[in-house]
Amino acid sequence: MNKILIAAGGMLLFAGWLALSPTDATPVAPPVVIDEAFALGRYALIVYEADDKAAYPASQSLILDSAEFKQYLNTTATDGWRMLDQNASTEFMPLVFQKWLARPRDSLPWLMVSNGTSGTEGELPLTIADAKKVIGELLQ
Amino acid sequence: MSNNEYTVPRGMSRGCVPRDIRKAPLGSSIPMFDRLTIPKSEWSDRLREKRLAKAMLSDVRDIMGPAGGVIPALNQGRDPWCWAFSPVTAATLARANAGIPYEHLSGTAVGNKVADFRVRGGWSEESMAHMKTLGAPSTAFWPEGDNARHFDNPDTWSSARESIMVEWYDIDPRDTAAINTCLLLNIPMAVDVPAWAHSICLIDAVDGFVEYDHLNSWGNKWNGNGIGRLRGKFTKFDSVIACVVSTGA
Repeated sequence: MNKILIAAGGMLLFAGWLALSPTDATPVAPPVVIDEAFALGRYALIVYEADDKAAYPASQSLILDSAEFKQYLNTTATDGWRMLDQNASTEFMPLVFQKWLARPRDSLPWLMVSNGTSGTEGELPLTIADAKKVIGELLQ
Repeated sequence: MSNNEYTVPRGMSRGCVPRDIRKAPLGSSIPMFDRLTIPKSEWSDRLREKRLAKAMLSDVRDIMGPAGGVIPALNQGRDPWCWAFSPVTAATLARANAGIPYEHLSGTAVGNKVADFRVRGGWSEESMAHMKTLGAPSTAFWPEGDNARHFDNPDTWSSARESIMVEWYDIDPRDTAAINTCLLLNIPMAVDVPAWAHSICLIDAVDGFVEYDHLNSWGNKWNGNGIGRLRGKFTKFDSVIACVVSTGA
């Protein structure tokens, strides 16, 4: 009798475990790897070469010059933003820009954005709208 | 801009003299402009696109000043140092275009330093040659319009290191392709205008590319907002200095 009760209890426990177990468990996300260079705050940096600016596509050059885009950065990259020639002196600038300008880049012009916990970098998009899209994903 | 606007308002001064080409030949103190220019066939389209995107230097001026407002026009007052105020204005705008927080830089400091406190005329290249090594201090260290010698001290010039220019170019005043390229790329230029005996900062091209808008150094009230338009003989320049990359905080 005892054996039957123990077996029945075990079956009930097993059934309960099954019922409580998620049947379509979401895969556990891998731990977020935070590059410390992007963990400094809400910043944006565009690096370019002033000598080559005339050769950049006109729409891309507008990203560097548009007051409207700068205004957008004022409201999103609230800890600061810069658009710097690759040879600009960052001696007196916030640490983040010193670190970012020193990072290797695949090409120019180059965009870097962070929100304090994660960040992204890559070629500067060709239009203001696309640049806003990239920045907005992190800073909206 | 009417011709009346080329007269000197009460309480203001100017003091630009022709650049001494024997003493300061083109490219002698700063490099000559030798970069790629934008083809003339693209100028009009680019200008139209810049206006639509609010990408003129005057647009940048409107939002990059104190608390996100207008960058104030400098005010040289009665001092004859337009030739110092024009490159300081150009440096201010170059910094704004780079997103460097606004700092009111002192044209008075640069004028006094270059002229060794003498009241004399000069040309913008003299001031640029100074600013590429010493920069321009903030008015917190050397107030605008104050010519007292005690401001000329190590603390003042230490602060000025934050505005040393890293890249700038001497442009042949006849090279309209270079001048228009700079304007289309938001590169402000200090230009000396012999017909006016005045030096100012070119900021925007105008349709047709034969007239230019400039930011003067006669304060914000001059001509409504400190900006005027150069026409006719006032578009013949004696010296053109492009202000490309500045140090900044």
